[in-house]
Amino acid sequence: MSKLKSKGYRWLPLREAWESLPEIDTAEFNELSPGYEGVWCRYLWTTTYFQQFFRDVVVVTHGPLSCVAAVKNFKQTHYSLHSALPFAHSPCSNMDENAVIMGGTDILADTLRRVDREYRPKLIIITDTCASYMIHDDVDAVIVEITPEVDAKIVYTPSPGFAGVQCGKAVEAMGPLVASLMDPPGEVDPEGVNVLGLYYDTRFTEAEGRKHGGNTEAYRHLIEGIGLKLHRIMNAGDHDYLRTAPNARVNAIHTAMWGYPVARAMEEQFGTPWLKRQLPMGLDGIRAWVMELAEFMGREEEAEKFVRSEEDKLTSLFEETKKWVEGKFLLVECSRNSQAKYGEMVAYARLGEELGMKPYVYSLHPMEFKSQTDDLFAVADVEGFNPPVLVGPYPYHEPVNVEDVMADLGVDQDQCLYIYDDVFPYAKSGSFDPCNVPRYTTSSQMKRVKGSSFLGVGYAGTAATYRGFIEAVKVSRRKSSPTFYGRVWSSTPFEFQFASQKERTAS
Amino acid sequence: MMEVVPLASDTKMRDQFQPGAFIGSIFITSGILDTVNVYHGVSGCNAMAQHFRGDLVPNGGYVPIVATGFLETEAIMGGATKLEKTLRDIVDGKLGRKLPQCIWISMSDCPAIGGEDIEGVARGIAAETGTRIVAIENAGFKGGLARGAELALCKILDEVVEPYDGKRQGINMIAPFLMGSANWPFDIDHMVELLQAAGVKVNLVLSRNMSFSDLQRFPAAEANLLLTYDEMPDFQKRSESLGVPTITDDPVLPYGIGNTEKWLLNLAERFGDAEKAKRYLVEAMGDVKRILYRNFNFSWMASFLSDKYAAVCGYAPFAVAMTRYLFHDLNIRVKVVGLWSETEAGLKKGVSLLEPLGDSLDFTVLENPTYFQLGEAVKEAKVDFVIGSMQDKPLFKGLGAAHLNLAGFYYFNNYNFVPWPLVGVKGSLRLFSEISRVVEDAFYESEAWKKLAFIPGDGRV
Repeated sequence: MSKLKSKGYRWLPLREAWESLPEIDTAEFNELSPGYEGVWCRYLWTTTYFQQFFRDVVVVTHGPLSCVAAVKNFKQTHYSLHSALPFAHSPCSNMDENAVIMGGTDILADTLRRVDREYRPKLIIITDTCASYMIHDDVDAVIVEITPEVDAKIVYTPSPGFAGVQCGKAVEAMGPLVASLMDPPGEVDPEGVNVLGLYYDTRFTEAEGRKHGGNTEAYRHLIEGIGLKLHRIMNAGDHDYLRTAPNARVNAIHTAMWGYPVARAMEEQFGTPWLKRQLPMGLDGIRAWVMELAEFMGREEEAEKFVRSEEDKLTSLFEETKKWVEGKFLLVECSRNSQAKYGEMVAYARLGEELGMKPYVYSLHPMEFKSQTDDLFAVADVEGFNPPVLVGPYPYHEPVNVEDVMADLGVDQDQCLYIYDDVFPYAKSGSFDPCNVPRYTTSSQMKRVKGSSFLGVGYAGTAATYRGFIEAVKVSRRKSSPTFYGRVWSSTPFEFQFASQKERTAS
Repeated sequence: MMEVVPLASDTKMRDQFQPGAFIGSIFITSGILDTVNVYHGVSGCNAMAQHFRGDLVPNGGYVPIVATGFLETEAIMGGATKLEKTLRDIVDGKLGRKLPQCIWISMSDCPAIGGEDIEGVARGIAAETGTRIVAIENAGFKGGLARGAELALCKILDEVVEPYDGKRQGINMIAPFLMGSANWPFDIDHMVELLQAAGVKVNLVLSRNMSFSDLQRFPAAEANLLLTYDEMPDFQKRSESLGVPTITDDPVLPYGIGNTEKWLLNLAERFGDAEKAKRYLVEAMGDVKRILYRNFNFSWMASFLSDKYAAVCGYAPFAVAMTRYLFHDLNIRVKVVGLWSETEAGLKKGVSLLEPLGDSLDFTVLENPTYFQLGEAVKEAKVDFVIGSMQDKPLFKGLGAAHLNLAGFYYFNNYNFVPWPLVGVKGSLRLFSEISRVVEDAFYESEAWKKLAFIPGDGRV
């Protein structure tokens, strides 16, 4: 029996895996998967999401300074440093013990007045925290009081941390909040297409001076390729960009988890129709996404021409990649650290399957998995893709060791290609290192390739992935000179050590 | 002349980087290597705790933070059951770790407002298992890092440290992470070396690379040196009752040669050997001169950066020291200083230490400014570069100023893996090297290189 099986792990097809799990946040789930704690929280997700509206939008936190620090500590700083987001001013009402006991509406009112006077934004979005929400500070009443005194529009987006620990739950709640910031449609552009569901990136392109962009360019290429117009790519832009989103003819989707809730809310509020396909990567994946849009917009002929032409350009690269990877097991590690999402990684799995690989998805925390119903629908029902997923306890977020996965699947280093999300990859010199096992960086945090989408979408993004797969396999052929990272994480950092370890094992 | 822009007294609004009390506590407890932290609260705060605990890893150790998994259900129904289970799991070794000498419990806002009795749970499980458990009521809204450190220190003095009647010698160095330097793990290590070289016994660093039993040494010191300008009256009172007073004259931290000389001789005169300190300083300077004397590169850069304009923003101890270093040691005119502090006392101390510069430098000190105010001040002052933290890099670079992240914390703030201090005479080499990089960034005309670059065949017929 493999180590994984002995610990209670098993492979199930995606849909079956999801159905095998109990409802989230129940005693049953706590028994199955003890120590689930989540990664971020609803306040953090909401605040960083809205901080991507820049230039004339300010997010005001009603809560303690500590919560703002939690946002700045990693997420917001990372998005600025590595994804071209400008600095996010983060004024805070600075609730202290006194405010928790006596109420914080006065300090919120004061903060709003100051922000309007000093920062002069067009829009103020108020996010609140566990503290302010639990004491039921009446934020709406404050807005009513303050609105006549200020020039900025003020909107409240309730976001107490405890009410959305699971990623899916936090994100689902955001759909109506995003839609609430939009104006009803004026003149709808019959060729206008929105792309919803990017949760961090901004629409600053390489042509404008960005070093590593590609996401906006990818969608523009697909949409303009069939004679339509990219209206808004969300989440990004200033207040006018955001509030005029409903002037598009249709909403298309980048990721289901982030896009569906907004699309649903926009349909409900403004009647904007929306499509279901997500993450156009891989030749088949892109074709399906483009054709769904084309069919809706009556552009099937143009779309067929466009897609054929783009596919022709990539055919030889596709065939070459297939030669290198066909038959290999694609080890799809959702994340050793956060284990919090899977949509993007399963899109890579789909791309891998197109190349004749066998994808296996693991290190996805069951609580997070169960909370992400939109991704499940998009993958299993819309795409009909049902890869094997490793279900098990993941106690206290313990990551599943990829070497144990290989042992369970009965594969060796030459039979796989390892991809990972978030932070950080597994590596150990002497057994599992890019020098001996192919590893390709698919993590949206870590992947940056000039001239292509770092989220892997579109034709340039797909081409970059194909080239990356080939390079990873080639790199792993050397079987020596492990990476620095692999050496740091290994008890055998030197080749003379693993040579003698092999001898000991052999004897 | 020094102009002080005080914190507006009629507002509580802030826009600055200040983690909450539980983070301060966890910084203290995570340097005590044979203990474990339990975090009882919502995950968003826990992520921050996990990140900052990593500050203690370089040349240090890894103290786990085990979260109880506080979800929405617990927010409504109470989380005592999960807390009890987590504590028992740790004691029973179910989390794969050996039994800690002590379990510290920290909490976030949600369970605190919900009235979770972490002290009661701690007492119950401690009685049941015989394991030492210390619960700290340190929700984020209780204050900032200094307050959280104080809460943890008070608990240590109340519940762990025994009274002491023996000989007292040397000093305790308290809360080094509050200095405000992104290199603090290596800085504090060298500050200990500096003091030892000056004959000053360092009784404890609270906390870095300690064991739980080391805490009993606390009262064997003559005095505490608080590495923050923020006041900790509750801690100081308790410490005094154990016979350990706290130094109150707050010498400027030893960043740069000038500050190091004053800091070291001040402490050596009181607790060590001033002559030994002087000999050490001269010898250490000899080592520096061996690298820099007649070094063309050094002479070039030292001349080039002289008379340039800078801004500094960060926590008061580091911001004060850095301002004085840039002005005194490098002849750079610091035009704007953003001072952050959690308490009035901290701000006052910072300002008073900068005041003497006003005789020979015209500059503005902003007390607890918002990022917005800082940005506007820096824009107006037209500085060449800013010394700040990673968090404010996009702000200042977005305004066109070069930026160097030396302030803040180690986590996510720098990619320095060389265990070399910025403090002391020895540290002046690295400090100068870092300043040289930001000066390069400030003055290299990279846009011109791009726009005026040679284009092969351009204009040829």
